[in-house]
Amino acid sequence: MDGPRAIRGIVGRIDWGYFAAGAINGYAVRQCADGTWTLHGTIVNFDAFKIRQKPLIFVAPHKDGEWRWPITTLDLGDGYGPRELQATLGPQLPQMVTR
Amino acid sequence: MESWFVQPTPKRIPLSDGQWILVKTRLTAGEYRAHLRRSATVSADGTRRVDPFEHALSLIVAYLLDWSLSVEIDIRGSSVTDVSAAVDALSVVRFEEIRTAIEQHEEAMNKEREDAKKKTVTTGADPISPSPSDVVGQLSTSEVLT
Repeated sequence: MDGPRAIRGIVGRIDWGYFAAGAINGYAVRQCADGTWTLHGTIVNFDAFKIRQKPLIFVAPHKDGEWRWPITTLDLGDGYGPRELQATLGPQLPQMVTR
Repeated sequence: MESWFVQPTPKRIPLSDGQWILVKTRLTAGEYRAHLRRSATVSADGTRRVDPFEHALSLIVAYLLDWSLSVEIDIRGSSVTDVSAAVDALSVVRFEEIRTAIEQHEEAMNKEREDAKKKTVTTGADPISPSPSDVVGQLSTSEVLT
């Protein structure tokens, strides 16, 4: 059985306000039946202080701007260096057009 | 009560010709310290002095997040070095316009904080404990220890 369709990308990031809190390399965002979204990806770099602040926004840049979702829960995993990231996301925020 | 920590909220300031800049509402202690460090030059005797020429550039770089001039030079998310280079590439008149806008913004934020502080003082919270002048009667007694 097919799962929910995913938006896949390479470059993503997590913002706290105007700060970049984390850099993501490789991600998949899926919409669940209840309207929430999940994020699965690889976080390659993050600021230990900023990544623990709220509110955090997951940002997926694309050629015309950015897709953005608020992060409701975030699991950074353990260890050092790049690691798997799991997050649940709230409803998609209005798209930011940057170009 | 205002948070003791700076929340990273931006503010958009309009400029002439329909242009704008996006700035930090307030600087954190770390950003302020970095700004002072960039503004200072070290004398031969090792003392640091604020260099007024560097101070203006450093102030702009400390606050500036983005601008409407991205078609020509994109600064969003750029390093301090890159933003400094972009600001230095402005014409003198536009540099001064941005500097003035950011100085006025900083003054307004300082005034807002002072006003909030005055308001807190005048409305006043209840004292935690009564002052000594409120105490009446004998405070303690002395007795010979046997």
